[in-house]
Amino acid sequence: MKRYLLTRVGQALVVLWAAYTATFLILNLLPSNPVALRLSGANVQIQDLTPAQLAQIEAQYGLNKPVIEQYFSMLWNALHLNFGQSTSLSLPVSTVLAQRLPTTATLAAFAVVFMLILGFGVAYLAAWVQWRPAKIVLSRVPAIGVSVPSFWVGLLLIQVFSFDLGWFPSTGSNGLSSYVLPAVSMALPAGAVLAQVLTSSFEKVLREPYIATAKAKGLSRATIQFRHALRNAALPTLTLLGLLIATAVTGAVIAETVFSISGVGRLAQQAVLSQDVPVVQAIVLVAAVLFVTVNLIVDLLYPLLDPRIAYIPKVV
Amino acid sequence: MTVNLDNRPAHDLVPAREGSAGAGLAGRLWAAARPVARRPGMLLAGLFVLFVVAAAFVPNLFASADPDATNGPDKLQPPSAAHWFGTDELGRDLYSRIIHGSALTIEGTLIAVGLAAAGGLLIGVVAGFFGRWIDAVLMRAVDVVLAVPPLLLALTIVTALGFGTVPTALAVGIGITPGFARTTRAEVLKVKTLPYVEAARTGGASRLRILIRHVLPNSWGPVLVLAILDSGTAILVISSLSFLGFGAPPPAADWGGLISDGSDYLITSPYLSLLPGLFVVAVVFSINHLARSIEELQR
Amino acid sequence: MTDPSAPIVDVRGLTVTYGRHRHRTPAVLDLDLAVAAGERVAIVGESGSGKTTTANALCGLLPDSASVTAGRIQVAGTTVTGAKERDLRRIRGSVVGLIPQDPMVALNPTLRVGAQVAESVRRRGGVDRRQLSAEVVEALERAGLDNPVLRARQYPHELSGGMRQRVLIAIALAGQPQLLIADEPTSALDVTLQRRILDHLDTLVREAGISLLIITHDLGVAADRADRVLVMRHGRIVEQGPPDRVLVAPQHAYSRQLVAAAPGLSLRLPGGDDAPDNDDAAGRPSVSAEAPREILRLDHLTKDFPLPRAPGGPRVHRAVDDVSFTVPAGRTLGLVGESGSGKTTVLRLALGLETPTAGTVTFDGEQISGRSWAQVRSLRRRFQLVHQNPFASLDPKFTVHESISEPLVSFRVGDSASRAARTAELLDQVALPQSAARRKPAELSGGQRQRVAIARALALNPELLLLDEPVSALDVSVQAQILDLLADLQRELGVAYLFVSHDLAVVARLAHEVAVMHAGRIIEHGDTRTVFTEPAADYTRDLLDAIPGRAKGMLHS
Repeated sequence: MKRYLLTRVGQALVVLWAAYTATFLILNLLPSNPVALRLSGANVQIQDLTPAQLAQIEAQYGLNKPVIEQYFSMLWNALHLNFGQSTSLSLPVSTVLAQRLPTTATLAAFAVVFMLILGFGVAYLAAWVQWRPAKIVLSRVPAIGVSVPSFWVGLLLIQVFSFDLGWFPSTGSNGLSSYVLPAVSMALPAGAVLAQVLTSSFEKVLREPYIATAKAKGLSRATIQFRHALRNAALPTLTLLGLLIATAVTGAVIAETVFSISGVGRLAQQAVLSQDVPVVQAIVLVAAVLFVTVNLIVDLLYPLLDPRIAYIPKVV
Repeated sequence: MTVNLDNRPAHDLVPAREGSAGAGLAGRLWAAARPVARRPGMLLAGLFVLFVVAAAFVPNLFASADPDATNGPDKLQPPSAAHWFGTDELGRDLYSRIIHGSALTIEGTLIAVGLAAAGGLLIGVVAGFFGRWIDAVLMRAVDVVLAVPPLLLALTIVTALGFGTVPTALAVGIGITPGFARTTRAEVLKVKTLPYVEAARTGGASRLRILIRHVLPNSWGPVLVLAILDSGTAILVISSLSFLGFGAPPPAADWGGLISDGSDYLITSPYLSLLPGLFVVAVVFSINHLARSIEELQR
Repeated sequence: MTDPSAPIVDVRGLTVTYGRHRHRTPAVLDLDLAVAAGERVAIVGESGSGKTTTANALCGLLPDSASVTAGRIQVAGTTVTGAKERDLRRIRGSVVGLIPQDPMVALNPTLRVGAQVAESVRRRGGVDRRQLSAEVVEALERAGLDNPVLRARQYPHELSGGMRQRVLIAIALAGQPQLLIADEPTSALDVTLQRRILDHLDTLVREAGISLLIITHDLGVAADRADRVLVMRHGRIVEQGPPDRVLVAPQHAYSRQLVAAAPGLSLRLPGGDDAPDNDDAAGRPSVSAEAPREILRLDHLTKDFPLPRAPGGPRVHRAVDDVSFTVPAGRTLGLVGESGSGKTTVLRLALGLETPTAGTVTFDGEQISGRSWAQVRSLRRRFQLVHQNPFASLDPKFTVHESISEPLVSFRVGDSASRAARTAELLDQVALPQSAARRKPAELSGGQRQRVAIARALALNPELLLLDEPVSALDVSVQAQILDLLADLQRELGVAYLFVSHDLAVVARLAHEVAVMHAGRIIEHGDTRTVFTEPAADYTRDLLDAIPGRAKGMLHS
């Protein structure tokens, strides 16, 4: 058991390192002129500077050092939660992040919960109802959910539930009710995918021979679906769960823009718009840590739910 | 349901399927068209997608009004007979703008999926067929890309490369390559272990012959489905990126940009952002439906 | 109240149809069936005969696509046809117990075995919580499981196939039913295990005084285990009666065909006096006077497979342990063993698909083990493989002609004209019509595909054919056709066979010599007649005794 835990944690760390390397390469090696990039973030044009000023700026951003040294010093700083200075906001990145994290965290939590309710709810119902029209509708609806852009859903929700019905606020983050609409818009695409996978998984499981054995025992349909089918049908979705949570949460970038919420997502959008490299790098790194952790937890949960995968030697 | 023929002598074969012994090409086309004809949904979806792709290449065929023609007095008109989707804040015909805007989005999607399919296929086939350390190295490289969630990866690339159709397409393309690589690799691995591949091997076939004549023809099915599905995903991500402001600059209007502009007038003229969005939903839904139908046909 | 003299199962005029509207296929037509209390009845039929559909219909477990379009089913007084789901549930488990077909997939993989048995026990009613676990353990014990307390806490994947079968028996009996339906109760298991489990089931059924309905494709099993045998074909009963009568003197033509084709019931051994000049009784080319040359030689072959690291466990699995034998040119060596005996690994070693840990493989004097694929390639033309699974050994995208001529293409033999001619010649040899050449595998039946696979293997005119269970995936009557074909081909072409099978009876038909494998070693090797009539090893004796139908069958000599 210990060895399994250690290998998984080790793998997670390698993935994190890979994420850091990937973002570093993209942000520092892809652009033709990293200095100009940094400067445009601060709305300064490179032509307007004297060579001396240019040299000073380069030193300030550490861009005059060899790339390898930049790579390691940035990594070292990041490990100490020092992400440098935002070029557009003139504030330390960590300060800005810390300010906005709680809002986005709440939003993300709502989104994940809604996603699970939507996904499992629709799929369970689709497997349960016997009336053909309802069954067909429930199985087809997720396909629409998968085809909608989340920003359009957000706008639609605002139009209907905010302007027309007045149930929820359309902007800002005051009070829990303002999290509902944005969280739903984030949950919809991921929840639809979950519903699709789970529905087809249920269809497959309900045709398995052991379900026939259960029927032959005389068990009721409700018992069979809950006690025998659910767990087996949910297992394939577990491997997806990490990815789905990542999708739902990164949707915050869009949702916070649509609903004008000052969270990390909105910060990301503004940072990209102003090409604020340190902020973008920091957000990606924090997100990577978060998702790697989520995936790790899901991986560790898997053997607990599927007895065929064991890291604990079973009774022989 | 195959009828159990084995009770008859071996000389009794199933009567040839209608059309397969018929006049060559015509017979084959007819045989291919029949399952499609039985699926009206697939036909509809296919026609709509064809329409959108055609509109991307020859927009003037489908939208007569000039998308950039501003018309002061006619601004912010709701949908009517004159303007099917209404007009925007500068009096421009919205339907026309959507049709002309499809060029940019479709162009971006084709670049993204083309890049991903080419790269992913190559990686997947090489990794799956040659195995061992080549497989390990290639799959680890794929995992590096997967370490960053796709949207954030795209944001990072756009930050580095700048805005516009091509950078966003590149960003999305890199993000969906791992899917192609993994799917192709899985198919190749599956086919590689099938008995008929082993039979060919014991029959003296070289590895190259096995790859070209047995593995590739039997693996491309799921990859095609994935290519179509990912086109839909690419459209969604590309329009999300342009909604956020990273797409083509004005006055060019790709779909995401149109919706973003329209959202400023949500209270007074909701159709400005909701109608283009509905169009996007219709396109992506049709693409997804096409992909699922093709998958069903392959089974 | 049920009248004790009334039959447990009373079926009149049952017709079951699959599909709707225009695409209706009848699976069962106008069937009458009665099973008395305590009686053991076997329904025998090949695939598509309707036997499984009948069994499913008895407990109302037909799939959605099927419906009862005529007739009536009564089980222990309750009418099943047209009954509501609620009423059907009442008889399932408590009146009718079902032992499903394949024990490897019939148990919920994520639920402990004890919990699954408990569900049946609870259906009995009147069992309170505290007694429940004791009842479960008792049910498992009666089904023959060792250490039942432990087994109850285990998951299905931790148990072997035989143990899982016993769990399913426990589940079926725990509800204390009046009728037990066993659906193909042993097809997934080894022959010796089959016998033990069926014997045990017999005992349990007799002790409880319940009726037993066995659904099987194996006439031998039906003969051994039933008081009455019913033969079904295309949805109808073509013959029924006590096993002695049906098997020894079948009246219907189809039953005669089945009996003749069942290997266990009509073993044909070599060395008969009424054989034509060149053949023995089974049509095998007879032994010639001079010693034939060796075409294949295996010397002290050993193969170890590394095991995943388990603490304190073994590091390697020795699949093949010091195996030596030779195959003479033009003759057949049958290699027999149960699953896990190593026989398939031996075949793969002989082909060069695996490299041996020790020992050598020699083909016609030239060593092939330990040499690279390229070095051996030219020799490959002279020995070919026929694979077990006719449904996966042909590329679905290749026409029959392309599949058959592929070895010729790979070795660059001839041009397209000569290859087409060769395909035509081979199709004739395997008794397939010329029109088959343009077809794809999906348009052929299992038996026809296997003929194509044999034709492909013969394309290069090899001297040795290695056959890996070539008939086990086929229906019994087709098996006989393919085996006859192989015998004909050996006579015409003089090709040698190394024939691997788990079925002794199948091997008996073709082999001049038989080698029996168990746990990686050859425990018996001799000519067929001797091995069958005077087996030296105990294990061989067990295998022979376990052939279903042997007791009732006849040994032709």
